[in-house]
Amino acid sequence: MENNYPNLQLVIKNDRLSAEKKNKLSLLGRILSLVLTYAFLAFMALLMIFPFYWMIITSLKEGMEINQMNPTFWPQIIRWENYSEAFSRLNFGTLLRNTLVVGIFSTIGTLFTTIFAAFAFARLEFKGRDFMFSILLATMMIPGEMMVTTNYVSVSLLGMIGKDNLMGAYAAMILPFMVSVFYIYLLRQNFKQIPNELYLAAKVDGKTDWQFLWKVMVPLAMPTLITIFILKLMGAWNSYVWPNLIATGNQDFWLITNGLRGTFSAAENINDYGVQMAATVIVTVPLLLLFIFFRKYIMRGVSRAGIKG
Amino acid sequence: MKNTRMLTLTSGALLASVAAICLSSCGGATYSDQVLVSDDPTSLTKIVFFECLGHANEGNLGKIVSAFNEKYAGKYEVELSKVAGTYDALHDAVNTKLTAGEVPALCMGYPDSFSVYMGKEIDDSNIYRLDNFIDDPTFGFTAEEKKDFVPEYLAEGQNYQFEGTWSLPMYKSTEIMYYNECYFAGSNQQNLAKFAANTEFAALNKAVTDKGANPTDESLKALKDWVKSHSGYAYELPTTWEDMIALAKQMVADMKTENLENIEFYPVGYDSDANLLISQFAQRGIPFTVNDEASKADPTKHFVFDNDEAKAFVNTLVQNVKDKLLITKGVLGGSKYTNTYFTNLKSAMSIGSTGGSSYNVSSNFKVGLAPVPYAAGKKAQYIMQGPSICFFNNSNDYVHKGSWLFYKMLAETTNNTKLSLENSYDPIKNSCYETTEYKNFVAKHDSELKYDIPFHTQDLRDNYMTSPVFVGSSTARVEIGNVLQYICNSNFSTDEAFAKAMNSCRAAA
Amino acid sequence: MESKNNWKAWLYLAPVIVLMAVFTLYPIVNTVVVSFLKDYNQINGSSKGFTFYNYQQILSPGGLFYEDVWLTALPNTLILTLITVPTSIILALFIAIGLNSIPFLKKIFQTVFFMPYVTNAIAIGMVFSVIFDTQTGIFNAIFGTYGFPWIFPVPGGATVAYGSALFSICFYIVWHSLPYKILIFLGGLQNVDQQYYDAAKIDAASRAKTIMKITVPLLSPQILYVMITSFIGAFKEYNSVIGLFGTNGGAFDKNTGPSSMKTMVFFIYDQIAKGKVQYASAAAVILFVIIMLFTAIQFKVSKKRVHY
Repeated sequence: MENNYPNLQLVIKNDRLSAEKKNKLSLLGRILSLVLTYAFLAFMALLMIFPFYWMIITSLKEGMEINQMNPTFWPQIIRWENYSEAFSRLNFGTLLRNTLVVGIFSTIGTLFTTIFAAFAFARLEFKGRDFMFSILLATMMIPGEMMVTTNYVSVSLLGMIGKDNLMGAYAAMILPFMVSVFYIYLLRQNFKQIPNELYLAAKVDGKTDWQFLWKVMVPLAMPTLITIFILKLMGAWNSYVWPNLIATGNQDFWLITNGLRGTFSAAENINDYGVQMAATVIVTVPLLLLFIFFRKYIMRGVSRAGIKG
Repeated sequence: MKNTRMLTLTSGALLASVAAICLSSCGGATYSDQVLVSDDPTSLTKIVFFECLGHANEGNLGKIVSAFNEKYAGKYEVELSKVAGTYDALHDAVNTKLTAGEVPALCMGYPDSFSVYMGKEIDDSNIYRLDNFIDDPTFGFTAEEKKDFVPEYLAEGQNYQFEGTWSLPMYKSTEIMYYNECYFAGSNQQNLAKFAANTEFAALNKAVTDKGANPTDESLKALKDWVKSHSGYAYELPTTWEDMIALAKQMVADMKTENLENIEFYPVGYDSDANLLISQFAQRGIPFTVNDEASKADPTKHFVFDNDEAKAFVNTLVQNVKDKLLITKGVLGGSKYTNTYFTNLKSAMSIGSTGGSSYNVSSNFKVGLAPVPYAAGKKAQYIMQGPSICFFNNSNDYVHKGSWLFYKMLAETTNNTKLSLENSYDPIKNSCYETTEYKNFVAKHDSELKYDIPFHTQDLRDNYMTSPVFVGSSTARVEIGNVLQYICNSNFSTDEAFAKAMNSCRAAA
Repeated sequence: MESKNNWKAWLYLAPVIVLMAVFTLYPIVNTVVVSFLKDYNQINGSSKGFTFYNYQQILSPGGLFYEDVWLTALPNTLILTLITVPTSIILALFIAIGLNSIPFLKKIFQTVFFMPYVTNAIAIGMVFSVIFDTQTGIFNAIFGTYGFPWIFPVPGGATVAYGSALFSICFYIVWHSLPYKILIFLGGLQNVDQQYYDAAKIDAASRAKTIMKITVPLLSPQILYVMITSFIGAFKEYNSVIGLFGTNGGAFDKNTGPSSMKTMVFFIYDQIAKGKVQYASAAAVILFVIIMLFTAIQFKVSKKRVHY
């Protein structure tokens, strides 16, 4: 019973590896998976960013270089005039004003209608709920082009079309697309994830549905709501076909994309290609800034303090 | 319970919408002939003109509109209604507005679009015939003025599914052959290979190809003379289609002689397949489409290009493509242009619209212009392009009068000349070509391509052609333009390709 | 309690119902009605009576559009959908999970992955021509397949095989649809409580197991959403065809598959442009039925796998 083995060490063995080795291996494993993840992400990121990069270099090229057969990855001659020409020819003030008005109001409208509808579908029990939801989904299954003419006739009958009717034009560009089933569905999924316990707890506290919606559900779903906000705003920024129809007859009603297509004619003048691209870049930068600013609000985790499983 | 409620709701909505559809069938008054009123309105009448002009052309139109509004202040006022985009976008916008009951006074566009506004029943037409206005003793055109119009331009407006003049020209463009003058003079791959070590050649070549060298006629002639005297490769401009193909064969053979057959080079490029086939068919007397009694009864009888001569000609074209003599936009896949090959030295000749001249300019060589080669032994016939104007039925007669007066102003000799030249289009009256503006413009033809174009097109006026216009004529044009693609890119047989094209046409009639 | 919820619910839904009735349901009903009209003239609303003629032209073998729809548009639409949707969802899932797990450079990556959403469509089309060009394309340069036609045929030479064109357009579609999906998944991942991951670590679960047993089920509402909406969207694919192949939809060797990449919506828009709204409406109704069936199947299959 004497200690005859002074160098005896206690070794915990698992899978024939010592604890130390296992630690080292798992560290190695983690580093490896991290490196692989970064490599994968970096590769995908390169693919994602390439067209944006192309957009920028094209905006600095002159027409002849854009039309070359061997594409150049950096402009041979940097044509800064593309940007100055884009600025001078494009009526930024009016276009921006129109796009912002239409964008912000339709986004606010969408947010409210979406919150109400998603709440009804996610939280309230009522007859015909599933049927209504299926009808809503079904409306996504028809291509938009089928509805253009009919909607134009409706909008015209409602008196929104007129040469100097700016308010009417705004209304016509905002109302038909205010309801978005895509976002109602998205928010409904998010609302459904909010645990029932919270609702019951609120009921016990004597809160009405309305208060529960605005004090609990909306804050919890804020990342989704901000996503909807950004995407809807971008939608207004990019919309073209419908505003083109509404704004015919008055260039003061044009939105940004109408301005881009109507002010530059790349078909007739080869250099307009680059100018149009420069104008596009100018118009895209605010969108990117918007996303960068709001990104952290989307990515912020939602704390579930106060809820124990 | 809930089911019946749902049912009543949906059937109610259904009934309401059916009613709405019937209600929306009220547009403007539809008459195919109108009469000019002799007096003028007492209150301001607005004339809405739908257009899709690009930035470059807007200037002069704006000036004409201001002049008109000043002249008729208090009576008529023209309002420009611009649609952002191409003629197709304009056509879609006008169609939708008509459906909503918004009727413009006039709009620009292509006859193919106008035939759609006309429709299939003359009593349902949204636009009206212009003969009453043209022949009106007070406000119409005199016999002299009528003769002043370039005849083909007027004739284009008379080739619709119904008799009479339904549209009037605004300005026109056509096709032209752009060719590489330096290549023809001897600055080509073959010579570079043959005279690789020759310093004389190198010097002469440098004189014409250096960036910014601006080769003159003298330097080009010097090169050509030298090349010819040294048995090099110099080429003469072809005038007929057959000559052009033979020249292309020669070029390819010459490249083979110098062991250059692996270099990508297609001597001839033609950007519009449809124009190629339509104009060559017309010159060779091959039927394409018709407007006649039989087609009035049965719209599918408009399309008559499904015949043996057409197939035979297309087969020769297919062979040309296979021999790498000819490329077209269709053969390239549909989204690439042959003028890119031209400016990148992979083609020596490129046939395209005079409107797109800036795409044929290259800093690598001097671009020359020539008429499109015509069918040997036949009369040359060139495609006409460029917008015309049609007039819509309105309940207010003064709108018709105002539109007419506005058109007369647009068509006025000096106005039209300035409007057309701004972007190398051709004015519509013979007298325009005699104006000082025109002469000054054309006098600068050696300095820039855009001045060179009217210089060359002024002689083509006697040879323009029109195609019949009817509901479905635009599909005919698209489909005949697809035939080469079907055969060369999709490996359909000639018969199958024609059948496919005819099928699409019949469905669109 | 139930009746109280009933009218309250309808009150919440009122704005949506009113707007949709006018701007969505009415046009849809109109489409269905028009699909049964003969020789419908859109401008003055006249027609020559009710008929099945329009559907006949599309569905029966002798019809005008039988080939266009059954042999080209429908197969293209189905193939594109079945390839691009699963691929892009799985890819987006991986990217989102990867993005969520890296310790630094998160913000930059998240912004970069959003770029395609803000890139102009024309520029995108140009880039894909640059990548997939036959002679000068980057893809061919990287993989050594010089002269292989992905989008553009060699004049007088090699034609584009359907498979190659399919590859390029699927590449395009997947690329284009990733940002939206990644955004949704990332948002959903924020909702997953950290305590679940902690529990998994204590249990010494491997990375893969954590993903499969915890992340995916907790993300299942978002995955279902993305699946349903992506399928519906993919069935309506149109812009990518124009962007890549031009207004004619491409021309490929007919012996390797359909001779063009025209999709159902391409056919619909084409008919509208030709003024034949009745054929477009009939095709839209047929497409609607197909999408409806597909969606119903998806809901049934996923019922057990979605956890809220």
